[in-house]
Amino acid sequence: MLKRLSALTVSVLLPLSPLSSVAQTPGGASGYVIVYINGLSTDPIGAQDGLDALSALYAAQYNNQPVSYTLFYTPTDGLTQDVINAFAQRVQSTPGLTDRWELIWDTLDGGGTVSDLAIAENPSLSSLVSDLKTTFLNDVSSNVKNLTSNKEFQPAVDQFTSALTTYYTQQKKTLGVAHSQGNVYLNAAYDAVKPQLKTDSLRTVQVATPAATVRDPQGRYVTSTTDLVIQAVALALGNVEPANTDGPILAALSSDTGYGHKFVDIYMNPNYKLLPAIKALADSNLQALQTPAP
Amino acid sequence: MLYRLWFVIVLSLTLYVVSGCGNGSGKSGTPTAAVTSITVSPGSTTILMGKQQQFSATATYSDGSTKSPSTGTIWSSSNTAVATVDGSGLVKGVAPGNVTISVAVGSVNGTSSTKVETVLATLDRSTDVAGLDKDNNGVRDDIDQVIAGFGLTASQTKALTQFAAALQVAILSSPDRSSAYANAMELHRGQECVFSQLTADSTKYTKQIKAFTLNTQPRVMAFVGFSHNASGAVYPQPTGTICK
Repeated sequence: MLKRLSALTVSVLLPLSPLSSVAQTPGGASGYVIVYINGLSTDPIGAQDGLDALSALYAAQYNNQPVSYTLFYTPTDGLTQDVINAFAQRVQSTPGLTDRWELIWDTLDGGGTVSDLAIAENPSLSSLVSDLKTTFLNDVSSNVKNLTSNKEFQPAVDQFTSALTTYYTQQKKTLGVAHSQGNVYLNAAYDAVKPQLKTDSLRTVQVATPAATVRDPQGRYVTSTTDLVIQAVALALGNVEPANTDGPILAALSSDTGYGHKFVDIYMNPNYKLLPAIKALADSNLQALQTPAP
Repeated sequence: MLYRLWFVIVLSLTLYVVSGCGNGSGKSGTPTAAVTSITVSPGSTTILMGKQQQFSATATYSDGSTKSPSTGTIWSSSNTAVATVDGSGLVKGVAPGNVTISVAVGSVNGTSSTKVETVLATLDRSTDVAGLDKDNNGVRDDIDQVIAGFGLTASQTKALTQFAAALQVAILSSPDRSSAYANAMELHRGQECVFSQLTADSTKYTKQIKAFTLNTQPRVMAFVGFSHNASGAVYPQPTGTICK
């Protein structure tokens, strides 16, 4: 009777505890959290698309434990503003050409639907669209170079570090997946939280990194051989992890795919070899993750 | 006896067909008149993407009479990626561009040059961020038209409308980090709703709605402001009831 009362008491009190999910999952494990950290010129909509692409890989469970998904949304104003400025100048210098601002989104997001519609109606718009995409590619390097000196950088890193610390206290195993400039934020947040960790409870999958180093214990990452954006950054900045996985050649030549750099359209595209490489690295790290020790 | 009756019926039918062909008003062709030309109406027109318009054909015969050819007409489109036409002359706009709609009767052809107008030309480009929303559903009226033009199911259309409404709120009411965070969560919820209805096709539609909504400099800048205020924050994946 006492045993049953005790069990009843535990079951009533557990939902009130911050660690309630720990005791409710097999083996005392509270599951996984997969974090996505977005890259350059990605707005909240595009960043959520990236998180959706990751959640499609693992759904709600991994290793019989729950998986939750979270977006660390990094500031991307700089490059967006460059493209906006280029468009505004072109409109001003070519009166009567167009003020169709919807055209900038194909440049920033990848894809060509909106541009194609406009060019079908007015072929003279093709040079404008082409100019915007050239601006994008030219300005990538300076935006990456100035990233850490941006006043938005450290507050964002602090937010992400705080979230990683929370997962640790909740005993959640964490996999951080970063794309493009997101890697710079991930490295900084990882370095801040790592000294607190008593077990191997935080791992990374670093995709298209413009940084000089990665945080995978074996130095693994995935960068496409046809990622023209990372190639441009490497040319300008020098110290960048080299490309290591075959990418699509024709798709990379098209500005519609963000020059072979886009996370969802290129790296997570099931038609290319990049996705299996990312999945293999994520599988390996998920398997290696240990439950955080209190 | 039965055989003779059958013969009479067949003979009567034959005579009726021969004498009845082309019979009637003065505008009809004579039994021997051949089709010399065909015209298509309307001669030139504009059709919105996703909308339909009925075309008709008028045949001119060798005796000078005119009438709508009742049989044997074959309709065709010079570019079905721009507009399609069915066997009755019903034309549907598919994508922007110019297309020629043709009709043929036997060896005689008639054509009509038809421009299918793009949705871009109908977008609201007023100077204010909000634009016109006469039906007060939280989505600009031109964006309602764009969504309707996709020709999707009712639930898919509702999901895209939820996304478009969340985007409209984001650009209108995100003056600080707190409001931008709440609006980003709703926007993500709208995206998840669209994803639940359209799966792999969802981004094709959300990208277009986003671009057509953010189609003027003030609207682009309002979205940049929202994105800025929403950045540097942590967003859990929306769960529970995602479609309103």
